[in-house]
Amino acid sequence: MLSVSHLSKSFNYRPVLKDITFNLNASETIVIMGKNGAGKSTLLRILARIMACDSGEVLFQNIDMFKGVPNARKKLLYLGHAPAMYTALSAVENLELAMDLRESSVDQSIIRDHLDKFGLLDQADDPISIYSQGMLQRLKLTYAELADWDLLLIDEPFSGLDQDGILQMDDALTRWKLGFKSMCMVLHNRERAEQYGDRILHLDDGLILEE
Amino acid sequence: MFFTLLKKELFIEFRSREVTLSMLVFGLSIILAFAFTTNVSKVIVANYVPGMFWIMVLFVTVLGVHRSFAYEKEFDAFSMLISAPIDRGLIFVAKWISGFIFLTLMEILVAIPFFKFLLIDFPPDPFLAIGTTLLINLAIMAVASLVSGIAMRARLSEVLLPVLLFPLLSPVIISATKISAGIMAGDPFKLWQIWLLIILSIIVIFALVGYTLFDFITEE
Repeated sequence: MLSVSHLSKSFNYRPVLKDITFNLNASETIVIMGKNGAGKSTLLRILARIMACDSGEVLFQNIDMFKGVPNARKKLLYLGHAPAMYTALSAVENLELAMDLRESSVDQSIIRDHLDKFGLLDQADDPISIYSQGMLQRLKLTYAELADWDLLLIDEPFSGLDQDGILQMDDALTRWKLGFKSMCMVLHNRERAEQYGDRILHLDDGLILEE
Repeated sequence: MFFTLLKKELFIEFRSREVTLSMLVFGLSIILAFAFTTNVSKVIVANYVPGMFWIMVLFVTVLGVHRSFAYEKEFDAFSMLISAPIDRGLIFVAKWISGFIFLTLMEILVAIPFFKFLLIDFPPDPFLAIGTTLLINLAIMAVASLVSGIAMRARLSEVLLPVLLFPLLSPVIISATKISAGIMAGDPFKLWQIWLLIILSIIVIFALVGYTLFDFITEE
């Protein structure tokens, strides 16, 4: 599914990722753990081709991600720290746009049904600039539910969520796992890492170590 | 996909009105500053008017493109675009064409105040003036959209943008001034056609470079 070979990245000549190599098989979940600043988010952003790396190769479904083929990202979904949505638009408009960009138009009623499921229907037409951190996390969760993906790259999915939100996220992650979806997620909580991860990778001093 | 991206640009602007409104207010402020600082005869002002107009457009463009790329950074919205399975060159084309629309809209709104406050006559051939202005707007926005795409990932993008943009836009502004001066004076086309060819060349070069390079320059 995903093959990462000899990936390196430096910031201001300080190496953050050194010769990272690992594979992710179909319907497998990998959890990446590590200290703050270890390069976990950087690694996910490189895999999503949002950030450029210094060297290395990433193959997703046997397509080289760095060759600039747009279709290589078709079945890949990245959900980072930030919502990656437009502050001037409402939740419905943002999700419509996101789905259009993935060339899979979804009826507005379906979007509203999903927003209702995650408790966002009352604010569905408000600009997302007024949303709280937890609401933005739920919005990202709605996006992941709507989008058609084979690999989800998700960065700290539980951050900012209240108890209800945690339960919804837990339910979604469990469902995706049981549905044989592949995921690569960054987590800080060891208990959760063991719960969701088929494998746990540790990033330390730019190197990756498998438990 | 291009129309989805263009619709997004126009819709966000329709919602926030940040780009057009700031361009319009800034443009009118510059016109007023010119009007109150050029207290000379109509004949002398007429010689400087084309340059004044395009200098005003240059300043307004910097403000417009900066805002247009700044909202992409809020909530990391740009990640939605570049992680999507789309040809990233089309993001450049959508930014270019939407910028062209906003700039043209601003020019339409400031045209009458510009001529009235500076007490000058309208061009003798308004259709020629409008046609060439549209081409110049395309050239300005092709350069500005590419440079903004490069500058947006920089830490001091608001400083880097004018530093990079002003030298690169100089040939466009010089050509635009020569074309407008020729039209205002009613000169024959042969006298200013070379400047129009420069504008056309800049449109083609920057459109191709922008479309090709945007895939790589948008990455962090």
